[in-house]
Amino acid sequence: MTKNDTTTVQEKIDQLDQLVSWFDGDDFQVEQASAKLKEAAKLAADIEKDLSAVSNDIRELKRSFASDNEK
Amino acid sequence: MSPKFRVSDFVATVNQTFEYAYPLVEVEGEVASFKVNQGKFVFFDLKDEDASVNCFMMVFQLRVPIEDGMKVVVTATPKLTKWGKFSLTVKAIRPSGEGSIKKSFEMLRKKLDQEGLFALERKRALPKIPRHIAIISSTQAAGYADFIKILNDRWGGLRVDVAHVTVQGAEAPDQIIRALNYFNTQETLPDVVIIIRGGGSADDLSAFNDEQLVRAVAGSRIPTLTGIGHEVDTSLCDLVADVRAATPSNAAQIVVPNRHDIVGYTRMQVQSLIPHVLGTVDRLRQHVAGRVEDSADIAMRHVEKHQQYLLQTQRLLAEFDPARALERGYALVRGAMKVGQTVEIELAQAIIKAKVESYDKK
Repeated sequence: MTKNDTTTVQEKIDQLDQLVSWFDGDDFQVEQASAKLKEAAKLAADIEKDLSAVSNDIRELKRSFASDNEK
Repeated sequence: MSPKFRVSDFVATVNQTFEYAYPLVEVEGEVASFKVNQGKFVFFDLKDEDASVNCFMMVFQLRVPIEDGMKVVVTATPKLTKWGKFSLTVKAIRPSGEGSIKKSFEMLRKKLDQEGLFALERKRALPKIPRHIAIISSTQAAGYADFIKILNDRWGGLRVDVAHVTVQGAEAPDQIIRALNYFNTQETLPDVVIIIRGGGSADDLSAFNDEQLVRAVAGSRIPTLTGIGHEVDTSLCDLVADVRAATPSNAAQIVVPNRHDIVGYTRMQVQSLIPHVLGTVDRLRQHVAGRVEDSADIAMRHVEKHQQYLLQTQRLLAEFDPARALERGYALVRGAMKVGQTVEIELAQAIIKAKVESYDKK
């Protein structure tokens, strides 16, 4: 995820899906199509950026599970 | 000089010697005379072709179904009772050998299936794109390394908490249960917990057929995914998990989508919108052009209609023209119709002045 952006990739994908559905739906208006198209292109670019930029944060727990008492 | 003991001291000394020499032993043999007393105490004999030894354990320590004739490995402490009987106090017991492992597996599978633990209705869907995952595995295992490599190739930005546990042997089920309990009691739960173990023999994988572990997986608040062994291996943990992956690598493929696929798909989604919009604009343009054409046609029809009306009116007016009557031989008389008055008579070709000689009404 990009910094200062709390929207998750999943949420952005959902937003993009909604935008794409708008083009096929009854609410479609040609006057708004250009703005919506730009919005969709930006979302796609954001998703690509989010996915290509980050690595996973893998943390091995220090706690031992060898016995009930160990922390 | 030989040592001299009281009987109770001798028993205590022998037990101390056992404790020092064999604090914990593993003994393999065949189960005979298996019985459970008062629902709490388990007694059986462990034997081979030449010898037999009494075994004792508590019911709660019995983690897999056992019956007579089954080959098992017990983890136990040797003990001489105050009645002089030698026995093994069993801490753990597991089936040994393919036949016994399979038999024990089938017995427990049937029992848990009857309880509905494997029912499809219990299965929960994993999140499409998790943000926080928990892994229970041995971090030294090849299966874990395979999982992490594929996970990192496919997706990024995940928080991954890893609980390192042993994944085979008598200690494995309890360690995995503790790790499961740990994740399930966190303030913020992971989106999914994944139990990973690479391939191994049936004996190596038998930890994942432990009844308490299977129940712990079933009771997990967090959706569970297992990637245990190879594709052909099916453990009871696999059956009870919400989703079963064939291998650790397959678990990584299941838990996250491939970022390259997502990027390709989103690009395709946006690109497909351009022809869609252009097509819509073209359709609108054609529609408008059609309407303009229709309007011109309608206007032309109105003009033609009025032209025809005008022609008819012109014809009608022509019929009432007095010149047409004069041409047919009629005359137009102007002036006072009184005897002696001069009147003007207009013909088609001439105008005549005449005097009125008489005037009679008809």
